Amino acid sequence: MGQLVLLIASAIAGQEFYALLTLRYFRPRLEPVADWIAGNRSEQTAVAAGGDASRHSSSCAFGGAVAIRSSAGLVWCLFAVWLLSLPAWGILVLYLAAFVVLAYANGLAFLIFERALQPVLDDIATDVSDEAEIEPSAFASRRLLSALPAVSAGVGVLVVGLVEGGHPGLGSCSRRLLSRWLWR
Amino acid sequence: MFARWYERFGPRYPQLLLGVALRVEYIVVALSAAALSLYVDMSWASSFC
Repeated sequence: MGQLVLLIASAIAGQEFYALLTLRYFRPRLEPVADWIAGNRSEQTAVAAGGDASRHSSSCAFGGAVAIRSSAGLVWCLFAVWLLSLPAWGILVLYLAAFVVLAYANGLAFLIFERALQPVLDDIATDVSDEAEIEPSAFASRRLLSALPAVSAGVGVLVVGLVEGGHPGLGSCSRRLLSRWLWR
Repeated sequence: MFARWYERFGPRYPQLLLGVALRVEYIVVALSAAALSLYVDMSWASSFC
């Protein structure tokens, strides 16, 4: 099996591990929303479901799984450095790059989940009186800002990698990453 | 599209969509791992043992 295939397969395996843990974590927390959809409908359950839906769409991006994900990212970096026979300092560069990628991927999942919950929130809103207050997600108002550094760094690294011929190496990759961040 | 899925899946919808959203990240993760090949020489097929 090629090294590229192994790297992609291991990255996807790590992502699946993270996805399974995250789904397990959120199952009980999304229960009030599922209950409300199933028919347990009252003003009280609607407010609880609306609050949970709003809150959990943001914690999907920054929930308690961050530590697990960071550890999985580090394991992947160690594996990549070993597989490609890279120097030890490559761990730091790869981890920095992985951090950017995972931040972007998290943000993407959050935006999709937030958009997907819109019909549920619209439905819940019909059951809630004007006086009831559902606390909005604090993260929602900063969504674009959170994606910007990751997009900027990611595009910079990708474009330079595509334009430069051959394999410029990890040193070049780290310089691109740092210059994109310092430029911001 | 999401409204149709919401009607179709009912109470399973939030958990199902969270699962889908997390799996969309596969694309980002896989492409990023592939992007490393722009900087570091690596084998694409079965030359590595």
